[in-house]
Amino acid sequence: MDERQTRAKVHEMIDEIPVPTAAVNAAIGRGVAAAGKKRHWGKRLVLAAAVLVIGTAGAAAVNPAVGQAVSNAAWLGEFYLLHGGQNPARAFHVNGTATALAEQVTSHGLTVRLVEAYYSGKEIGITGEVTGMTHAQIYKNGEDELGLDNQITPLPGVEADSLDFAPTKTGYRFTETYRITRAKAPTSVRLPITITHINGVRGDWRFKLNFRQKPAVTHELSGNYTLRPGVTLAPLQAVKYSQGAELRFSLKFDQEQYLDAAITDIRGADGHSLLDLSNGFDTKNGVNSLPLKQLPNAGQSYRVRLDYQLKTQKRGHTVVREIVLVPKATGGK
Amino acid sequence: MALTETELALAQAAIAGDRQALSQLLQRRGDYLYRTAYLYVGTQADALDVIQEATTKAVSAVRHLREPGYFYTWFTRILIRQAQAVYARRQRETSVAAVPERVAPATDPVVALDLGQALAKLGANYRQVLDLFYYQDLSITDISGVLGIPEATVKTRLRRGRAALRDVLGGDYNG
Repeated sequence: MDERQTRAKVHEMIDEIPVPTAAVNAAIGRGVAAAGKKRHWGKRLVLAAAVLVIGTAGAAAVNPAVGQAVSNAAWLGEFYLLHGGQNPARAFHVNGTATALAEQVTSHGLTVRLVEAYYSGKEIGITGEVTGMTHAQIYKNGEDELGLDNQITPLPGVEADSLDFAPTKTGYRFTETYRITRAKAPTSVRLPITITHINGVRGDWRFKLNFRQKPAVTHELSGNYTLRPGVTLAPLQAVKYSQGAELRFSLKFDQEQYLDAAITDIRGADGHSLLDLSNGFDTKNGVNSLPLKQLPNAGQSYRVRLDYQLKTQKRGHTVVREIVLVPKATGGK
Repeated sequence: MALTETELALAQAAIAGDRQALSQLLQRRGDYLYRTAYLYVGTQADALDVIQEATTKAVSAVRHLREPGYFYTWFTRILIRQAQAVYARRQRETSVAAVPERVAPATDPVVALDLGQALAKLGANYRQVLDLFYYQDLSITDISGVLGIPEATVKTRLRRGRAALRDVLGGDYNG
């Protein structure tokens, strides 16, 4: 059998693999819907970031972390505002959580320079730029997609999450985020990054970054709250990180009756929202993780907002319930 | 991968932010996308996860696509990257739980069952190379670029992969 026949036969056999068409279409639908939720957060974030950038323009002089970061790369603020996408890098850039980096490696004519990074909660973010690329390398195949093949050398519990980028005259600027997949975020992480290809250019760009944050404090929660008939909220854990906090909960709703249901806000008696809109909402194995600006106060009642849509209706609705998320007796560990 | 006129119009709409158009585009080639993902991850559940996650990434990234005619090539690259991530995740989980690699149950065609079994025996490294070479029609150089491995390694995996498929391929094939 020659090469052409082999190719035809293998191709033919692969085409025989049965396809669960309905499930594929449903997966595409879920993928689009998931992006919709994230974009919703993103829109609010753009506005919040704009306010923050304007509001903290003078803060750089008094906050060493911000000042250092800005001096490392003057383009950071604009990049985060226009191209930062859905990650919280820009918020951490202006509030000083992010630290400036000066890591640079050149290989095969291309230079990768890392200028800023943060480690907060379960997320690591790294911002940098690639320079030295030709126009043809940047716009490979007529697209401005950055082919940055990042490999984290075997590191259990850390995975690459997202990549935002913007082309420049000689390369790209990018923010890459990594997510801790363990139940608990470790105090320190050593993250080796190996980049082997950039838009088809093979090279060897290696970095070893060390991150630290204060240990998280976890409060175990209990209780079941019926937010409306067929929708039950069960708070599971409240976790305090060095920056911000996280509420883990289970939200169960009657799939026969509801098209969708989600917690969209948590407010204290003072009217301020607890939600940290600079970060994304995460769902894994039925447990929702909602980033918060701070830990809910023990014994204090919060207004929890549920947005839901019934299958029989075309419009969504809202219901608000007063709930004590963290009972007074709960102790951290 | 060439686009039809309808697909080209849908791709233009998708780039302009029409999610319905993006969804339709992906559904039109759902079979191809599923098989590509399946060959990487080896199970139906994981293949569907890959498609879902790749779709989510595509929704936010499609505005960067300059040439609508490259839509499927562009999306396939996202899909492959996502499949690699899911596969790596499963490998870590498997190494902890020591669960043997699963294969989605093939339904009717005997040939699909044979191929499924043969591919399962191969392991993901070989499946990936065979997929890229025979199904995506990529060159060895391109595969080397996509997977980030030397061309010699691609050739070795291709040779071993073909040899392992010999029984299914039949004939006088020599690996």
